[in-house]
Amino acid sequence: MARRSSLGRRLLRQRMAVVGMAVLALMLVGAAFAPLIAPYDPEAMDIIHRLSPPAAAHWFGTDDFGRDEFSRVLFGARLSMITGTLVVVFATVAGTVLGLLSSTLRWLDDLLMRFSDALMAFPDILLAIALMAALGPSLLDVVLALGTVYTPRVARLVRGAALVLQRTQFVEAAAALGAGELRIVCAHLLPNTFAVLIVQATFTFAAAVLTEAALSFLGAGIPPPTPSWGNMIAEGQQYLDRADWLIMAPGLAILLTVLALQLVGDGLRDALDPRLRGLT
Amino acid sequence: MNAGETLLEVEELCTSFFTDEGEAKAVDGVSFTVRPGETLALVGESGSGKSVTALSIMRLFPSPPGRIVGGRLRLHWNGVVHDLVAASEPRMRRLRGSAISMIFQEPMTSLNPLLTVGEQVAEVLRAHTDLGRRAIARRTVEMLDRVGIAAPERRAHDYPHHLSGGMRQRVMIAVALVCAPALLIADEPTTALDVTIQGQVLELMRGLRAEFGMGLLFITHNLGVVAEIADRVAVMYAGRLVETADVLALFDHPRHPYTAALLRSLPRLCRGEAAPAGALEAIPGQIPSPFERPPGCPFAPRCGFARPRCTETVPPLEVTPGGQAVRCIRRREIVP
Repeated sequence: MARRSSLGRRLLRQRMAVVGMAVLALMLVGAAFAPLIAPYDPEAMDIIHRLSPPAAAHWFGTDDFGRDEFSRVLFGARLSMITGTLVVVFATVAGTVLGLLSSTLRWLDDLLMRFSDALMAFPDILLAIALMAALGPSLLDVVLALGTVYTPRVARLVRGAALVLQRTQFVEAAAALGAGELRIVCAHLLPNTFAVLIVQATFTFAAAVLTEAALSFLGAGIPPPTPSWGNMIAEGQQYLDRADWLIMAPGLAILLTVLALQLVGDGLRDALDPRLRGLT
Repeated sequence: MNAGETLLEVEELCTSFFTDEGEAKAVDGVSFTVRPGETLALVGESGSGKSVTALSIMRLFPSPPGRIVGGRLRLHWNGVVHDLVAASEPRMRRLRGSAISMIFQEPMTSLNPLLTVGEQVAEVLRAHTDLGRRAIARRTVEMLDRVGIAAPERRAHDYPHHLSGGMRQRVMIAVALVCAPALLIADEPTTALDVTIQGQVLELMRGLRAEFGMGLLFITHNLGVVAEIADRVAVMYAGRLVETADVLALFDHPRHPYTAALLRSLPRLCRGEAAPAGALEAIPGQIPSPFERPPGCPFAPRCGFARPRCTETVPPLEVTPGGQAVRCIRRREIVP
């Protein structure tokens, strides 16, 4: 218990991480309570007031169908947060299992690592587009595609950390006292990779938000009319000369979210530093 | 327990590592016995094969590339003779921690940083006994108390980073001994500790050895520690034993030139006129690589007494009337 509270205190001592957490908390509240906060239905059209600039009635203005941009950004946040969370869960669970298997079973190691090399050789976005083409356009497919893209990264990291841990004396000592393979993996290797996993999770979250936006921008992600920050920018770019708020609002939302996640990730890394030495 | 009883028999043990560069004969025909309640010190420089000997007994060397290529390892425990070379892995797992335990050099890294010290002691009990939760907790606290940890009920809930190096080594000893093993292998357990703490830990191990009646295989390169704890000493060089003797005999009349050189390289405090002139004697050269051992006596290239015939065949380990065993063909001609 003492360890957890001191980790929290060390994290709070870092100003940038606190800023990041505040922004992130704001985003999460916005996403969670979007239906309550949003002043309009994000898909309700109002052609008379199309492309109106930001004002009291429409904080972030309206788009070419007269839909309220602020409400759409809120619902977009919902989508981004859900995608990010699910991708992180997918990649972390799958990556951890594969990484631990790879570090313990030598015959599997070569196979898994060459396969992950192959996946990692593709640029994120290209692999994601290819997978989306094979899967189809829905939230679950986006999660599946992005999860597949980020799993090898987590697997690598866990494998590396576990290999280092296997050489440590407490793992040797556990074996010398009669602990079996499974016991060593579950009680000694897995808990000691949590520190690296937490840090990696925040960075994966940021990457997933960014890549999902890119996919939707390219039309390979969440299809309109469901508002996603990516497809909002795609639609807004046609009116760049008349209504720049249409790309500013979702663009800034992406920027803030990713920046906040990076700050929290950096802060966590520093706060966990003594435990990360030699593992990253 | 009669005096002739043996606990561990090691006979012509050969352990090799098969790597891309060829076969590294880390242990090459080592034999010794350990009796209950006795301490055998295994002495040698880095690379002499003493740690691999210990890991072979535990069957914990990395495999592949390591393999026991010959010899016998027999452990007498609970009235049964266990063949440690042939035993299956599940059987070895049951023996480790209950019949044989091992403690390591680095107390700072031998404990899992995420488990309380109490949990780490309890883990061994859970693995090897049918005790209930209460009994395990009680036994854990008793053991922590026995190794000299103050306020053991409270300390049991501490994490390793709350403890000093000496305290952690005490916890490590508690973890290793909580199931009262018949044999304890200690791989340089005091090397990483402060000198003042070293003495305390040695004292503790001596007390526990007497109390549990266990055999102790003590691996070290520190001859000062050997003098304090060992009953008998086996000196290893390049994967082979070069001399075994009772501790007093070894210090008084080392028979092998290597043992003698080791003793001369030890700093000594002398009072008055007997102060030795000049600096410490280092042994020139290096231990030969396990990939290409020289023919004949492996120590010959570094030995001041070497003759051409020393490099022809490996000398046999000959037993002197005093019970000292020496592997040197010139042992009758020279008094090192």
